[in-house]
Amino acid sequence: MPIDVSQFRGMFFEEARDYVAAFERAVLQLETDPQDTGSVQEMFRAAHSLKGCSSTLGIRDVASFTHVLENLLDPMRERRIAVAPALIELLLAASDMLADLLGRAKEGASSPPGMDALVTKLEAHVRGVDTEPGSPMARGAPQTEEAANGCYRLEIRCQPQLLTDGLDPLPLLRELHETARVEALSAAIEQVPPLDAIEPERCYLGWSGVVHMEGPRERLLEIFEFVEDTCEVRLDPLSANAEPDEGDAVEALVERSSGLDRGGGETATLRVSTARIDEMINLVGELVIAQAGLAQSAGTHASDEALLESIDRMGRRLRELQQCALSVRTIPLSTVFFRFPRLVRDLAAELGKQVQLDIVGGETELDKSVSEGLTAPLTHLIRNAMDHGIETPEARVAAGKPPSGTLTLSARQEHGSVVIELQDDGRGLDTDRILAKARKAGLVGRGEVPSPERLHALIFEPGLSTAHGVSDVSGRGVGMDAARDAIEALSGTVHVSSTAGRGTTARITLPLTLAILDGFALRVGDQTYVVPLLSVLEVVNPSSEAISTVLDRGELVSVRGEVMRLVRLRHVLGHPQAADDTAGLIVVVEVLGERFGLLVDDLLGQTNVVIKGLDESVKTSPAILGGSIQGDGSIAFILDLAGVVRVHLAGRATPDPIRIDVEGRKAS
Amino acid sequence: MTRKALVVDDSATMRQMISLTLQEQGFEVLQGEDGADALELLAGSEVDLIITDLNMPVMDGMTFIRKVREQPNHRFTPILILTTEGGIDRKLEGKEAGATGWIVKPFDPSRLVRVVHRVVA
Repeated sequence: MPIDVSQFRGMFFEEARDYVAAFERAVLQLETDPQDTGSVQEMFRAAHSLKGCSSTLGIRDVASFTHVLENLLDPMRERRIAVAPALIELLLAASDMLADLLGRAKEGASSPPGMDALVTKLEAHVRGVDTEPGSPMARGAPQTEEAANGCYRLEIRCQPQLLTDGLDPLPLLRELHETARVEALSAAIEQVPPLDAIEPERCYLGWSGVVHMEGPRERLLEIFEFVEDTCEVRLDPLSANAEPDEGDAVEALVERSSGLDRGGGETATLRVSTARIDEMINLVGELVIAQAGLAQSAGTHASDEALLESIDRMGRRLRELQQCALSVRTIPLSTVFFRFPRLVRDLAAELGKQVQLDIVGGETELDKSVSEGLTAPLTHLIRNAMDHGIETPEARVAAGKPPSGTLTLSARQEHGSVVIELQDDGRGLDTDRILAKARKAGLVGRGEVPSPERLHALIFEPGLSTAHGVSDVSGRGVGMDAARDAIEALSGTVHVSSTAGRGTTARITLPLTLAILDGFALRVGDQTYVVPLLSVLEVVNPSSEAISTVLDRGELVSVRGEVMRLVRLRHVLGHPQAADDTAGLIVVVEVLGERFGLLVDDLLGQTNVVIKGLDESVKTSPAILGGSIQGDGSIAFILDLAGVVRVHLAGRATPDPIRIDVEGRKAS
Repeated sequence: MTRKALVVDDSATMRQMISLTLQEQGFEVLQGEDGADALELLAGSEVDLIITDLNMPVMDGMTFIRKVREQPNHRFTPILILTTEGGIDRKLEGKEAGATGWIVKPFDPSRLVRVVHRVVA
C-alpha cells in the first residue's frame, strides 16, 4: 500500500521556515560580501531542499517557484550573474514570496498575487545571462575546464528513460568510486514522484557530490560517456577560494550520510509536537506536587529516617526531571532575532539612515511560546529606536557622532530570567517633550515631578508619541503601549533608560518558562494567591498616614514619597473587608507601566508554582490567571495583575467611604 | 550466480578474444556468428550482457539490436556495440537502435573490462 506522504506536511512546513530563514540570511550576507560564494551555495541548498520536499508532497506553487529560483541561483553559483543591488532586491522579494507561498500552502490557500510577476522578473534576470554561450546544463556541452586542485562538484540528473536501453546508474557510481575519491555523494530525489505515480521502469534519481581526482578530467567524464544523451552530467571545478565553504558542505553531507550509515538509529534532533511536550511537563509538574504532598504527610506521620530520606532524594530527582522537561520547550533566541537584520536594513533604507545592527547572545534559550510572542514587541521597539532614536547621518555628524548608528540587540540569562536589551546610540528620549505631553494628556498631575524612571516609562502610555510627525515606520496605530502589553502578556516586564544625546536602552525581562511561575505567595482572606515575582518591587508596612483618597483617582498610597494607586485585593477578589487596613501589608507591583500598591493580609513567601489552566466555570474573575495545586493539596490562585488592575479600576465607580485622611494629600 | 554474456561477431578471433576476457571476469559466454545466429541462441536463454559487432553478414548488428529490444525480457539487457575510433555516427545510430554503449576497437582487455563493468551491475 502506498504510504500517505501528506502526513509529512506538518514536518515540512516547520522545516521550510528554517530554509526560508537560511535563504534570507544568505541574501543579506551576500549583500555585505558580494564575493561570498558560500551564501549563494546556501541559498541554492535552501531552494533545492524546498523544491525537493514540496514536489514530493505535491505543493505545486512552492515547487514551481523554487524551480524558477534555482534557475537564477545556478548561474550565480558560477558567477555568471553579477551581484548587484537589483539582484539582492529580487532575491529578497523571492524570500518574502517563499514565506508567503508556504504560509498560504499551509492554509490550503491559492497562490499569492504577485507570484507570476515575480516569476517573470526572475526569469528575465536569468535570460539576461543565459543568452551567453556555455549554458551550464547544456547537454553534452564539452567542458574543458580542469580544476587545479583536482576538486570538482558533480551533479548528475537522469532522464526517466535511462533504464530502458540497459543503462543502470549503479555501475557508473561504482566506477566513479573506483576512479576518484568521492568525498560526499547524495541522492537528488526532487524528481521522484509520489509513490503511486512511480513507474518501475523509469529512473527518477540524480546525484550530487564532491569528487577529488588528480589527472585529466576527461577520465571522469568518460565514465558518463554512455549517458550523455540520457543524463545531465556536470563536473564543475571547485575554485580554491570556494574551497572552505565547500569543505563545510562536504562535512555536512558526510555527516548526513554517516547518520544514514548507522541505519538512521541516531538522529541529532527530533521534532515533537508541543502538545506532547506540554503534556509531559504537566505530568512532571503533577509529580512534583504529589511528591511534596507525600513528603509533607510522611514528615507528620512517619518517623522512619530512611523513608524520609528516600522521599527527599526522590524530590531532588523530580526537580531535576522537571528542569530537564522544561528545557525541552526552550529554543535559542536566534530563532526570533534572525529576522531583524532584514528589518533594520529595510527600515534604514526607508528612513534614509545608516544603522548597524549587532546581535549578541542569540544562543540564549527561552521558552518557545515566549520566544514566539517576542517578535511583535521587539519589532516595534526596533522600529521605534530607528525612527525616533537614531538620527540621520547629517544630524549625527553634527553631533560629533559617526554617521552610522549602532543598534545592539543582546540577550542573556540572569537569575532565572532572560534579559533582552535593545540599545541604540541615538539622541535619547526627549524628557521635556514627554513630560509636556504627559501633562497635557493628564497622565501626570500639574504639580507632580515624576522620577526619571517614571518619566521614561511614560513612553509606554497609549497615545504618547513624541515623534514630530507620524512617519511611515512607526506610528502605524501600534504604539509602545502595545509592545509593553505584549511583553507583559508573556509575564515579562520592560523598562527604558535613556541619556540625552547618548542613546536609549530598552530592557526586557522574561521568565525562563511560562509553565512554571516564579511567584510570590500571599494571603487574602482565607485564600492563598500567587503573583509573578518579576512584578513585585517591594513590600511595605502601611502606616495609616500613607493612604489617602483623591477624587477621580481613588485611594492612593505613598511609598517612600512616590504616590501610587492602592488596590485592595480583598475588594477585587470578593473577600469581605478587613476591619483594619494597617494590619495588612502593601505589595508594590509594576503592571502596565505603572506602580500599584496591593493591600494584602499576609505574605507567605517566594514559591515556584506549576500553572494549571482553570475551567471556565471556576475562572470567574478576570483577575485570576490560573490555579496551582499546593503541596498540601489545596489550591492557590495565580493572579493576572493586569486583570486585577482592570477589576480595580472598573470597581472604582462606587468608591468606598474615605477611611483614612492624610494631611495635605486631600483632593482639591 | 554466474553471469552470462553473448558475444556476436563474424570474426572468430575477435569473438575468442572477447570471450576469454569475459570468462576471466567470471562470465559464462555464448558466441554467435551473426545477428540471426545470435537471436536463435537468445531464444532459450537469459543473458546479463550482449556485445555485438555491427558489420556482419546475414543480419547486421543494428537489426539484431532492434530485434533484441523488441523482446520484453531483453528491454533492460545491456548491449555494447563494437565500433572503431571516431565512429561517432555509428555510436549514435547504435544508441538509436537501443544499444547501451560501445567498445572502441582496437581495445585492450583492461579497457574492455572497464566498459563492461560500466554497464553490468
